[in-house]
Amino acid sequence: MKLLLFSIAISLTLYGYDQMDIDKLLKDEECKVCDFSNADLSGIDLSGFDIQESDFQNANLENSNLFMTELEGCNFQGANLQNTIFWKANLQFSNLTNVNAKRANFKGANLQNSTLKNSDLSYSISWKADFTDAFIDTTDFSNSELGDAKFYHNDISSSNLKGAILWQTKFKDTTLTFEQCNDAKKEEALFLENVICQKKEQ
Amino acid sequence: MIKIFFLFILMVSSICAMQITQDLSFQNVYKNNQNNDKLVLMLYSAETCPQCAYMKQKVFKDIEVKKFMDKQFVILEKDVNKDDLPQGFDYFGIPTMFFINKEGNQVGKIIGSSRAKPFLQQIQNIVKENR
Repeated sequence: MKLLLFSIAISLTLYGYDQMDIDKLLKDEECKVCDFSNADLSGIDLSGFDIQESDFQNANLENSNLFMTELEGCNFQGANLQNTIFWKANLQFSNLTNVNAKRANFKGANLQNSTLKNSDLSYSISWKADFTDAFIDTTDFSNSELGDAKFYHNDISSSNLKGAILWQTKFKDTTLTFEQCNDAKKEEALFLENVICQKKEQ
Repeated sequence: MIKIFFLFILMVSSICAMQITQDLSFQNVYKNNQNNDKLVLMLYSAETCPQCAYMKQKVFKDIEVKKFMDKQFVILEKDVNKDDLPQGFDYFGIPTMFFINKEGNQVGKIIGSSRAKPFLQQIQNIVKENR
């Protein structure tokens, strides 16, 4: 009996999202502290919705539109965010660990205090995005567009910036590798103050 | 009666819509380049577009890119907020670059910004496909 209850509990946990939360979201254009984990929300238009503090762990948001969506404090760990539009979205304090955000659009998005760990943001478009105080670790920004973006108080040295557009990108109190510094200078990035260029750690 | 009215409006708007070959700036571009086979690179941009500024101020000025562009293209810039835009050249975002031959046909299109090296590769491919 215990084993049966345990199995049910586990399967419910794995299943994740609450259909009532999805229904509420689509009806009211708002659902705070809701559970969308493991949900398939691909290709859906959630622009301008208020979904703060919600859980999108392992959800599929590929090709979805979250233009100007309120996403403060959301958990996207392991989510599929390929080609997702986060243009001008508020992603402050959001968790973007292990996300696949290849070719996603973060143009003008607020990513202050967000967490980006082992995340794939290659080929993403992040012009004017604000990464102030974001925790950035081993994240792939290769071939992404980071022009005019803000990196204040970050350590980007473990991440990949190869081929990224860094024109007018603002760095302040930031740690980069020598290679990243040289490339950023060639791209006319702006080193405002206290930018540390250090040897890449093996 | 209403149907006929809308049909009439549609016909008038089709006649009034500007073809690229009727565009004065397009005509001037070709008038000044009658003796060569350059394609027109029509750039849709706007003053408030940082990607457009990056392409114009950084990528187009890259030595290799500039050399290739001077040889292969004549540039025609259109501000999407100020200029009349020719019919058939719709855009989703800016910058958008249309590559147009003498007959006014679009032979290539690039949307968005990229660094000099991949951009050079893209424009080389467009020229190669149209030679």
